[in-house]
Amino acid sequence: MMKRRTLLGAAGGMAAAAALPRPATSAAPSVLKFVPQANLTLFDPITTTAAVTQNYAYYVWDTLYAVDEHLAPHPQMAAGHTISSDGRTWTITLRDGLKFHDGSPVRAADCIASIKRWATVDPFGEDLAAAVDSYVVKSDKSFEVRLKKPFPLLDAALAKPASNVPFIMPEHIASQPAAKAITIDQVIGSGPCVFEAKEYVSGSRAVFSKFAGYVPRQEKPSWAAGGKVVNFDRIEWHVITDPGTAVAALQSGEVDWWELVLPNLIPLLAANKDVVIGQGNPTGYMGCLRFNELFPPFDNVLMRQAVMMATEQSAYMRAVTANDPKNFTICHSFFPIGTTYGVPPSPDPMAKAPDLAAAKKLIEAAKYGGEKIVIINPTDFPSIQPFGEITYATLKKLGLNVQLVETDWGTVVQRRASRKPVDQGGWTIFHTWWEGISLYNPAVNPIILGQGLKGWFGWYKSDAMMALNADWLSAPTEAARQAIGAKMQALAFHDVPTVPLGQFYIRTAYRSTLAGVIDGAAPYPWNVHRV
Amino acid sequence: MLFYIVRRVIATIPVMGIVAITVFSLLYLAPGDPAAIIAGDQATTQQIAQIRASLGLNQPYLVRFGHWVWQVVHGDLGTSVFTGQPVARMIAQHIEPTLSLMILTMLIAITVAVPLGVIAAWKHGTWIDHAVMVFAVLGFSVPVFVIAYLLAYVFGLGLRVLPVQGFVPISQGFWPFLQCLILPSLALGAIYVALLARITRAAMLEVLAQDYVRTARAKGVSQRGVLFVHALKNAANPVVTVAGLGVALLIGGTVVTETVFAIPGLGTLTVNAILERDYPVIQGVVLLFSFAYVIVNLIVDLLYSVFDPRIRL
Repeated sequence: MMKRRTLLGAAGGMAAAAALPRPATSAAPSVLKFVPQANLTLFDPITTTAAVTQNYAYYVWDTLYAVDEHLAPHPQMAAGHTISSDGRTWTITLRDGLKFHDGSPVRAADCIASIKRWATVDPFGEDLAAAVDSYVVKSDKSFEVRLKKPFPLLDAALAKPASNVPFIMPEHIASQPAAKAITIDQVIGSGPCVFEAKEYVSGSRAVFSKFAGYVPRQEKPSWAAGGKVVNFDRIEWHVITDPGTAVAALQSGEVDWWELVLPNLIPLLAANKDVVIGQGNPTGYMGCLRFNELFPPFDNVLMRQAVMMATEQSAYMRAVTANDPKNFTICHSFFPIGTTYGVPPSPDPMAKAPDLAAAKKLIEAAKYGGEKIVIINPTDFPSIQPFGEITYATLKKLGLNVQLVETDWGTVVQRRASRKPVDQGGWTIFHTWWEGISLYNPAVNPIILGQGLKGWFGWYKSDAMMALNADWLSAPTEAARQAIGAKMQALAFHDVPTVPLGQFYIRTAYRSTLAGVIDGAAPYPWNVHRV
Repeated sequence: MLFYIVRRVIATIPVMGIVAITVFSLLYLAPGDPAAIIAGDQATTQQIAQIRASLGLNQPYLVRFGHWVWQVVHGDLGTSVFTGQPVARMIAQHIEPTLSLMILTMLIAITVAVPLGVIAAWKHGTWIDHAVMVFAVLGFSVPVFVIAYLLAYVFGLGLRVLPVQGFVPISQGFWPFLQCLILPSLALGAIYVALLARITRAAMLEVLAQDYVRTARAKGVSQRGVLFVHALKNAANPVVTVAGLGVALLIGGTVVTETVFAIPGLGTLTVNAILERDYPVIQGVVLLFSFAYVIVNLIVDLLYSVFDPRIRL
């Protein structure tokens, strides 16, 4: 039987606990607490293609042009441009009042230096750089881009929405080589938020404050275009790597917004009336199986076609979306479904997949000699690991000599850069995914470009593809570009440098006290406000 | 004793030297390329090579090792290849949470475990003794992260009296600081309590069987006096030894606990650095942990002479 002393003690303890201050929730109206997808450790969006760096860069810097929700480019820092009658001179004028975070004005020279630096690392930028004859500063607020030949997509290039994005930095910062990353002390932005370097703690926190000197455009925001009005004085990024903790923090109100929600946690959050599940990036993520074409057996196009023939996209997609068909789209295309070029070809070579019998016939025709196939696969990437395991099982069914090597992602990316044979530490197949927005047109789409050793891992080489790409860049109309894009897609389905594995979506989630979250290429901080 | 302390401190130099060579060599040999991670998934081989060259990662082993040792000897642990921040500054940013977590965990653990062990020994063979041992087994068996999730669920999400994540420095208020550490300390402390309770119980059982304890009882010393004045003091040495060795357990446990509760401590820093192959940070943290462990062992040895005056250092 409980003693009175014990009962009184328990009651007193509970009363004391109730009287204690509750853990702070983000009720302060001027602070937004956001959980990013990863730890922010790199501060240079030109040196790295890391998505978390791109997202932070959208806070800190602005761009000359930006795309809206229809992926159409619009002037952003630019007030506008004129094009000479021969199409070879673009004159770009900056808007009034643009400033960097150190108070210095944004000048044409800053823009030119930033574009040049970006163009040394980005495929679309490289295409632009190849067409540029010179940049000429006309005044502090305007400059000319003088081209060797017309480049109708110059504004689209400067509006590139995903890594690498051509952010505008001060000239003295942008003058350093792209391989030399800018440091935390060199972050001088041109965008709506100031990065508070002194408050940065790696693995824990990044803090941004609203830049009072930012001049937003007057239009309504649409993706990265339009008026970037930040409604919070302070935005805190709280790095929470454990999904269980992140979901608890969102439910308890300790944070306001969680960028990427694991698919199997969505039902839990959906049942919480204080949480809203958002779309996130509408173009989703495109799973890829990539071949190493330097060595057998996948230097043989018939072998690559055989693997594609045996691929069942729904198996891959169900594995990374907790078996929820609402979170994926079958995508027989190298461009994301829902975008201009994201249309399956006709006839569709993947329509009958998986066809193991036909695949085996192709393998026989390819005279496969039993060469070892090494699949390098990460164990610490839940949205990629299943891809490798499914491919391994498929290739075993095809009777191929295959080994699955599973390591952490760091080891995968190291081995992936090797151009040696598998018995000297090389690889044959790896898997990854691309944000759909990174693949939305041919110029930005490394999974089909045939640049050979200068291109993306796998080193697919196709002069025909590069010729089509050149035609696409100089095509005078959108109809002409679409026709060329269809040809590029058809060639890609013939050569199969990559096997598309489907298009899946990773949702975002935020407290119901927030509104105005824009679904786009990044978790933009503008337009979000507390209701 | 002073000579003993000086001798032990000097002896740390070759220990640290061996640790430095070992950790640097292991990292050099381990797979992974920070340049590839920096460049990102969409980069090309050329971009990775350029970054590797700009970071000096393609220099020979001896050049890189010599450069690093030269820096360390001059008190410079280098800079992170990712953030560009000095490693010493990064460690300084992350040390308060880890130290706070470890100290609070040890305080809670010792405060709970020693009395539990004493009571279990006193009530040897009774249900109290069995209950303490069952608790000890559970403390060993249930993983830290399971306890952590349960505590977060009950006290964070359910009762909403404590936060499920984060850390507030003590400079921003004692109660917010303590709030953030209570659940992590309880989670991390469970295994420590289990370990110490068992050791205390075993040591006490041995001591309680001694003649001088029987003499004390015969002289009319109270039970409390027998247990906590005569017996515990003589049972302290193995407890102190295990407490010192348990610091290594704590260091390992903080990694998991800090991850679950999103505490920006040295554990988090280490895990992130390992996954990213941030070599200078890994090297700096391992050196620090090694040095700390050596110092802890020195303190344990000094405490022996405090608890047992017969021991001369």
